[in-house]
Amino acid sequence: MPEIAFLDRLHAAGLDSFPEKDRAALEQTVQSMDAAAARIRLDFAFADEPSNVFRLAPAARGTGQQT
Amino acid sequence: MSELCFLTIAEASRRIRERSLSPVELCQAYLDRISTHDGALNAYILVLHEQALAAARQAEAEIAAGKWKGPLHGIPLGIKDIYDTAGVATTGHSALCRDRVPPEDATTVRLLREAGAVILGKTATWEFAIGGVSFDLPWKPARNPWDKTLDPAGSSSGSGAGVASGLCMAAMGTDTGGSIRSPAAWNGIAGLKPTYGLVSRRGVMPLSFTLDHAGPMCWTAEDCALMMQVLAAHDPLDPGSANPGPIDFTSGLGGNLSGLRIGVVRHFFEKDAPADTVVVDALEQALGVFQKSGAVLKDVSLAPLETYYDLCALIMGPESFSIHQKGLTGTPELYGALARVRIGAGAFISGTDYVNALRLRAKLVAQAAEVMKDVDVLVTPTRHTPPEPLGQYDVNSGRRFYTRPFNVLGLPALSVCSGFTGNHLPLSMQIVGRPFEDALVLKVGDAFEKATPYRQMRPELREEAIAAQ
Repeated sequence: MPEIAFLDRLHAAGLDSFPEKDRAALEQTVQSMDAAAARIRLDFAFADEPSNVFRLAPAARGTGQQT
Repeated sequence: MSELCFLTIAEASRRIRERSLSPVELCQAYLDRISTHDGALNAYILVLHEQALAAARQAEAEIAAGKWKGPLHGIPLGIKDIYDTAGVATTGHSALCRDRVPPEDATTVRLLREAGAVILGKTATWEFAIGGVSFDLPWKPARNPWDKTLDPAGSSSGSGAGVASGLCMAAMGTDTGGSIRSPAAWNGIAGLKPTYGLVSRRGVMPLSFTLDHAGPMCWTAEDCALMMQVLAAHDPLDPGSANPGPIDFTSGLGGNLSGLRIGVVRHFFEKDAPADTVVVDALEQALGVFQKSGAVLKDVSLAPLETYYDLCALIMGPESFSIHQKGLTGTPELYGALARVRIGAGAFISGTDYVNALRLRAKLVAQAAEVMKDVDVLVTPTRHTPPEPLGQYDVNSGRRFYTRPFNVLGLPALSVCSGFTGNHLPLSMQIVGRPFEDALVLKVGDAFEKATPYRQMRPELREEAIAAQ
């Protein structure tokens, strides 16, 4: 996969106005997050659900269309 | 009257109930102490003198009329400045929200007021509960009362410093990666990160929807239990709120630990991220106290500490950036440098990596549940060292400590003081339970505190020393 320049990533994230003086620190933090992401790219099974699956509650009685 | 400021909730509420202690006198003692000492500690960013005294007068009148509401009636508290307080600025310690005045109380603040608590003021925090020790914000960072050159840890830094130094009897904190337990550890107090969903986060500035926890910070585990009696309530307005049914958090207080099975997660602090010898020695002594009380010890293994750190970063990153995207892309200059960098980095995590982190999280939750079939609680140190110099610990590159796994797992985790260094700095230990077994965690913490002398020591704040700084 081609390496994407940090400035291009900054632009894509909408952070063009991010102060110049903090950009080196940001890049360093992003590199550590990239490494974290690489470490957890495991061989997940199709059925492995995330921890925050979508849940609904039943509609409360007495609400909805009146007949 | 500063001795009043070192009462526990349990002691003060007994005296208030029998009317040998006036809530007004108690509130005034705290306000006086804040005036004398907070100029050097910066535990508060806003003190509510008149409102607090009015609430104390109301509590006194109600109790005189025979309407005692419970153990928090007339008890003076600090509230971390990310909890909404109706009509009172709630800033997140950030210039971005300097003039933000919410119309309603956070659910927990409402519950505390209904229980008769007296709110003394809003306590200092790392910016938006993530920044770190910052000197580029509208308010100064809190300092450690055991040594003002040291870090009180964060993000609930003012709450931790305030409780330890007798500037409030208890306080509210929040914990996304350790922000209750870390300042509890470095200030030598008790702090409970409850089971995820047990305490409402409605009206608390969010940082990470699936990792945020709200909870109490007190001098003792017993006081945390008294706070939890009020704080734990299902809140339909908090999408993460659980409804486990009634829990009596005081049920185990004063009990013995006979037969309790304790799992020691040694690889965290011996191999994955070795703790200082003084911390490990204190933990070994604590384990000896537990054994003497009848508990049975066993070493257990969870996933490596690094995996929990990775998941915390990959989950907190996108969640916090989604909350702050408008601010960071529009007015980044209104953030301090540390928060700006830490939150901004979340923009760079892909959706796939975020979802995979949540998929791995589900596996780790299942793994921990399996491990905890054989033990009742887990024990580790909380922090890897005693308090360090203010502003020196780097949240990103600093040595790892042991709180984040239990945000990822959502389990109840209590930090208590496990002893002191030779130069009187607090050490810490963390007790972790199964989901919704917060009462057991508090029982174990309470038993330890009552079997050891560490609740007898308070930081000494000398006026002359403060004036000189």
